[in-house]
Amino acid sequence: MTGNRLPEAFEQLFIAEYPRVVAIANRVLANRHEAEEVAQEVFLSFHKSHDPQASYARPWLYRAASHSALNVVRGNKRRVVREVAGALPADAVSEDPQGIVEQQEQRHMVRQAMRRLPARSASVLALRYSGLSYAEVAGAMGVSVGQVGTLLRRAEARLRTEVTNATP
Amino acid sequence: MRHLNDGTLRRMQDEPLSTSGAEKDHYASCATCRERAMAIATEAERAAMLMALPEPEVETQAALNRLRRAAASQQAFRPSPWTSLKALFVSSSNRSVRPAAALALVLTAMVALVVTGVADNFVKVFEPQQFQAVQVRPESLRGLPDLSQFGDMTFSSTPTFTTVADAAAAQGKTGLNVLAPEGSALPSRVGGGRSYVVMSPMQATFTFSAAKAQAWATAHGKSLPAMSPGLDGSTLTVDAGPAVILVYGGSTDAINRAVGVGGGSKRAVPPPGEPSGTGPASTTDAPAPTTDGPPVSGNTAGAYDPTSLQLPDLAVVEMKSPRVNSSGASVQQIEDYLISLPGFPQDLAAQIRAIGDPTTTLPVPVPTGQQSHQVDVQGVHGLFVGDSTGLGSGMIWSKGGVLYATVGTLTESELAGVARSLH
Repeated sequence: MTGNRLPEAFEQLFIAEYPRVVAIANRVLANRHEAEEVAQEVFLSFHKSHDPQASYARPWLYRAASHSALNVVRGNKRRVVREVAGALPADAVSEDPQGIVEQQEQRHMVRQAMRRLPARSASVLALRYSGLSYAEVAGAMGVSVGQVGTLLRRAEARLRTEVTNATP
Repeated sequence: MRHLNDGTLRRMQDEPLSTSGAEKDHYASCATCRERAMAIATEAERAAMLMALPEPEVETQAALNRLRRAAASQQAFRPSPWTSLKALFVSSSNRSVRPAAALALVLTAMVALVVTGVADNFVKVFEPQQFQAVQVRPESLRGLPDLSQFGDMTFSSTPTFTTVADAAAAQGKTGLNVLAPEGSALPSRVGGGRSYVVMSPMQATFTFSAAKAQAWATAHGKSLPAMSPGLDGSTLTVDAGPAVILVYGGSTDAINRAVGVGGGSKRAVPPPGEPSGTGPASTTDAPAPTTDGPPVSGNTAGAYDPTSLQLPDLAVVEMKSPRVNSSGASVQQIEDYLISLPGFPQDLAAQIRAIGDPTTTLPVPVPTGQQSHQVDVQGVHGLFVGDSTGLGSGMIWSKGGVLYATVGTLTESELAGVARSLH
């Protein structure tokens, strides 16, 4: 499939950043398939509107990934019942069914918590726990590097509260 | 030195090398900060456990191939009437193309603006029953913000355009009572055969996102008005069509291009920032197969040149009235926010504010210098746009839940005669 090549600079950006964009969306959705759908939309949207060599390209992609994924969890509550199927390693299912069930429940709670958290809190969690540095998180969120730690600290506390409150 | 703040202590857990010498010295000598750091670390570890996920295994090359197909597919069939409209206005500063721009205006306003929902984001339209011209300066639209930066648009049903054999086929496909002018009402210079183009129904949703707007503002160094809580997250659903376009003379290709579908050797290319969605539904749509005739969408990429617009002698458009529903935001909230965006022409904002009932009035943008006034047609009020020379004019009205428009290279009196004779 090479007949519809996109601009070289864009394709290089895609190859370099697609895994990370998927990872960010996956951190919110806990579902690889949904995360890849979001990543496709993010890159398509970027391709239509922006210069791939723009300095803001990567921060834009990261931010769009987290926000688009949050839009998915917030906009389609029905999906939560099938949220983790795509995120689990195949061998884990056969090894420890009970563990898988517990993992599913935890991820369900976390995903629900991400849905309820303020957008900035959910975003900083998704970005940071996807492996972005503080500087990268700052760029994506449009804040100073010094603020990231504070946002992350608050978000982690809110996450704990949300999950604790949701635990039966 | 004051105690280290929580953010610094949190970052020390992840990026200890970022800590300054003074901070390190204070931390080493301050039991309070060390104790706080331990609590923060414990919280961070708990969060890390909750957020832990296996890294998704992705096949980047396969994903790139998929994106290539999606991009090609979207460019091939997705209408971009907003692009067309912008191109028309922006280029119409050249007087030589103004007739073409004016000629396309009403058709574009009726089909393209309504189809995209762009106009409906200026005002909320349930069943537009009247039309009001709003004068716009073409050059002022260059600074118009892109809607895609303020939310997400998805097309759950993308309109397709198909030529059909005759009025009966058009009626069968759309359920509309297809009207045609009396032969005696047609000026003798309206030549050539007539053809019918059918537009399938479309549905699009647009969800306002304060976070997305802020991201755009941050990336571009802009300052935005605050999006009210009622507006953030609110979704507009736009339903439009089906529609029938009866074309006399010229070519359907011209109409196709006027409504942004593309065709022939040229088609509209989305400009930077064209409204688009980032939801999962909008890339996988495909044009519905057609059986009654050749699909009229074109696939050849190339710049859209409004000066090449060769519109037919006359076109009669019928469309089931568009409906716009909002999940929460009020008309006033939407209007207030959009017209206060940076780059939105102030004179246009004033005109939109002056519209009495935005829920039933569709603002029709008219380039400065073109004439427009209210007319009586088919027993209702309509709007005429164009000039008195016959180089190009159009008329639009609404009756019985259907929007009608006639456009052509006719004078106002000729066009009015055609409109009155529709049966």
